[in-house]
Amino acid sequence: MSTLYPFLAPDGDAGTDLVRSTEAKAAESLELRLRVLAGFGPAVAACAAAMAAAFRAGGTLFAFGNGGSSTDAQAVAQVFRAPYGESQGVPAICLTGDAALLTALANDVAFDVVFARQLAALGRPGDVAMALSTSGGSVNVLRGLEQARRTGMVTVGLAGAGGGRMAEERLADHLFVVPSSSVHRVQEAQTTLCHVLRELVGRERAEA
Amino acid sequence: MAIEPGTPENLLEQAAARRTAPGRALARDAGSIAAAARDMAARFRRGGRLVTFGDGAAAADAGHVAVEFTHPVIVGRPALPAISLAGDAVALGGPAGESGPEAGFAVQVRTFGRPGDIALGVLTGEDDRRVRDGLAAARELGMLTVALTAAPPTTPPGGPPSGAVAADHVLTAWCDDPLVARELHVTAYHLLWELVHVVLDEPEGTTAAPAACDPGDTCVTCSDTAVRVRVTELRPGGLALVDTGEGVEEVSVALVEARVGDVVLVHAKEAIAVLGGGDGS
Repeated sequence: MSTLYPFLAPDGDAGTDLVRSTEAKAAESLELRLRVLAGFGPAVAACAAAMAAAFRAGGTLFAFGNGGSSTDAQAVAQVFRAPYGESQGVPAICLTGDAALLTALANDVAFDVVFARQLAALGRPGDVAMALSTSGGSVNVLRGLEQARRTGMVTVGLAGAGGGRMAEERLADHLFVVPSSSVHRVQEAQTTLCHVLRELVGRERAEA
Repeated sequence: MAIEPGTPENLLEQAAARRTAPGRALARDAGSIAAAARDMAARFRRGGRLVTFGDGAAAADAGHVAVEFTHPVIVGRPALPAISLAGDAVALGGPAGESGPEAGFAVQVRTFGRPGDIALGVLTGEDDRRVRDGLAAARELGMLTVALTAAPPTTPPGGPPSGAVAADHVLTAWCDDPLVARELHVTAYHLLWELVHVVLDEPEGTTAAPAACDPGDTCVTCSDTAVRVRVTELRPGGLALVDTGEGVEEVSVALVEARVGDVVLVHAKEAIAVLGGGDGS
């Protein structure tokens, strides 16, 4: 467990240490969120402007990811669909919500195509594709981004650690690589990035 | 929360500022988070399962919590039984938001839950009836109940006007912005997952291994890493006895064509591949 809680002293008071280390992790989570907002400021604003322009022109948001990132993509779609403050929702859908489609594509073709095939069928030029990954290396996510770009969609990519192939090959127009090697801290900062994008898109649309 | 007019730069600064105090408040609640994790770990030790639910974006969070526990991100951590009730629109029945005996989470909790299980409900502070009903049903059953809630930092000690949530552990995101509250819930459930594993690792007298897991053996149920084992005996019902190298355990071979002597790859007590036969194949 030392990898999760390196400061748990072997002879220390486990209860107190547990609370102290939890406090430290929560503080680290906040610190990373603030650092990411400060560091990506202009890029977040540019991404929000591109997304708002896409929505003004009738575009739809498609969000996708694997595992915990698939549920995070579901939340992104819901957060963009729902009104926030005075701003109305926009058309948004998550590509992992339909078990029939996912299992059909995975079973009949390959898991690598589960997002690309859906985007090829549903996506239109001017739509927005948002890919969530912590590694930046999931093949099905990357193929989704490639398909979205071929279609002429605005592509947004979120990754962690070094950004993986998503970053190496610049597979997204708007790329946000969260500088942490912890999957959990990466997901937490990505959630904040997505929420702030929602806030800024709402603002842009209100002004339009 | 209304967004103040301003340039994108100002808006970003405001976004950061709105997250600072609630984020610090979560760190101050570390003791409550650790206490919830201790009770959850105790239930897992006795074979309890985690049942999660939420509405709206919190439905996604319920799914996220369940996948954290059943498929840990850190290789080698044991898989713990967890399921989200929010992932299946068919099972929820009735119009969205409906509660009552025929629909919602309560009916699923009553049919699926057992007294030794854990219920984790994620409340957004908006229309939470189905989640509250689910937690109430879980309490009636004797399940451990954990609620992730949100409340304005100015909430009086008597609780929010919408009424206090009845749960054994109530972990509150202290802010009035639903998006910021959701971010804190993500951090809170990540911490719960980590802490449950820390507690499960602690040596203590009350430690009881999960059901059907012999302490000291290489438990192929609890290991998140797929392990190689040799089939020693085929049993009815798609089961087999396997030699783990440190002992003999029963696993399922229903998904593969395994014969006695085969080396199979086992993940979470299920053989997922035949690596080679004892007959020289």
